[in-house]
Parts: sequence; C-alpha cells; structure tokens
Amino acid sequence: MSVPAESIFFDLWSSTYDRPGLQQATYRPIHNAVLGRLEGLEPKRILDLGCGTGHLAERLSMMFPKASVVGADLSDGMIERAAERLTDDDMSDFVRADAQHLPLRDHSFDVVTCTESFHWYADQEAAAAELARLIAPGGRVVIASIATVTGFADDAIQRATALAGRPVRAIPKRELRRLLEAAGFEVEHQGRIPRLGFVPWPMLTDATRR
Amino acid sequence: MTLSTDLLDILACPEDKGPLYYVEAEDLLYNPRLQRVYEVRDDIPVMLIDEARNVDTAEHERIMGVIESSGLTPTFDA
Repeated sequence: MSVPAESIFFDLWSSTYDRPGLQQATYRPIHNAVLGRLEGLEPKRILDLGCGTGHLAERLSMMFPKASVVGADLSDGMIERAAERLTDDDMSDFVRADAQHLPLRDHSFDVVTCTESFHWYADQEAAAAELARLIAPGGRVVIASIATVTGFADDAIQRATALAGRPVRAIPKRELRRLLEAAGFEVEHQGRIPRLGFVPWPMLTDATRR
Repeated sequence: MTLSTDLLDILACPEDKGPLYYVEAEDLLYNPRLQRVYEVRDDIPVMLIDEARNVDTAEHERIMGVIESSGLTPTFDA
C-alpha cells in the first residue's frame, strides 16, 4: 500500500499545471501536432496515456465524437482535475494506471496518444510492450517525448533532472524507433515539434501496430 | 456516479490482464483469480498494483457471495 514517489511528484505539479500560459505555450503546439497525425482516422477507442489534467483527452473527444476516450495517468492530483472538468459531460473516462502495467484488455484500442509522458517511464521497453498488447493490429500510437540533445542516454537533461530528484529518461530518436519496432510496430513518421522558447524541442513518433 | 460501460468493457487487472467484477455498491473492482481488490475512489478506478489490496479466503468468499447474489458479470469474457 505504498504511494509511489513519482505519483507524489506529479500530484504537487498538478496544482500549477493548468495555468493558461503554461498550457498554451508548452502543451498546445504538441497537442496540435499529435491531433494532426490522426486526421482522417475513425477510431472507436482512444487511450490518452499520461493524460495529465485531461486537455488532450478533451480535444480528442471533440475531434472524434463517436469514439470512446479513456485518459490514464499515474497521478491522483492530475486525474482528479481531469475528472472534475470532464466526466460530468460524459466526455471521457479516467483511470489511475501505470504505463508499465496497464489495466486494459488486449487489442482494445485503435489509437493511443502519449504526450510528454514516455520520457518519465523507468522501464520503457515494458511500456512499449504494453502498448503493443492493447493496440489492435493496424492501430496507431502517437508519442510526443523529449529527445536527448546529444543522443547519449546520460546527457545534460538526464543529469540535470536527476539532480532535481526526478530523472527524465529522454530517449534518442533512433532508440525509440528501435524499441517500438522490437515491440511489434512499424514507425511511420518521426520528427521535431517546434515550439517557441523551449529547448529541447519535443519529438513526435507515429507508429502502426503490425 | 457509476463507471461507464465503455470503460468497464475493457477494464482488466493490471497484473494478469484478465477481467474484473465491478461491485458498485462497495466501490471496488475485484479479481477473483488473484483475490485482489482495486478501489474506485471519487469515481476513478485506482488500477495500481501498489495500491491494490489482497484479501483472505473469508473476504474472497464474502465478495463472491455479493457478486453471485447481485448477478454481476465480469468486465469482459476472457
């Protein structure tokens, strides 16, 4: 019955996370890029993994009104804020879950989005395997994550954030491709998402389940 | 508020990935195979292995009794 340390970290963060300026400047360009990759699809079930306070889940529900959208996040604080805003309108469902042990049925999703989340996972191979398990063949995953600056695992980002007590496991572009391919995906697209004033730029990876 | 059927249709145990019983009256999701309870707090299922609770045989039998007498079915057919 222990509360994971990372969960507490994000619970504290959730109180400032929804500030309009922060949302606008950092997350909106990423969400736009992710949604752009999904244009033309007709998914039945969508999972937003690492949904935070639910902004992308909300936009997914609006873009795909016929789809069932599930938001999952490790943090109690984040999920509570998401649920307060969205479940009254029946827009989305939320669960607290760990990306490395997802509480979802095999092959139950056509689309999974994962923004600003993958680089926190301690076991990224386990997370990729979970994505492969719950996405139906032909389904898509779109990941927006922090890429390393140097391409080395122990680069400046990881060292700086480890000093702050919460290491970002920024994953080099090629390494994420390799990880997804090994788990059973075909990588369709990888590229940078430009946003003003913030370095590093996030990397977008779009892959199809074989 | 009750959990939506959209969500219940696909909710599984994060450990063995099998179906669960939603015991709405007690705000819990139950995995009879592992004799494990996942709580639903403020309408949000807490599907974390670290926060789940294992129950003893007496409690397992009590929960299974509630499931049978209420005619509850698992979240999906395994």
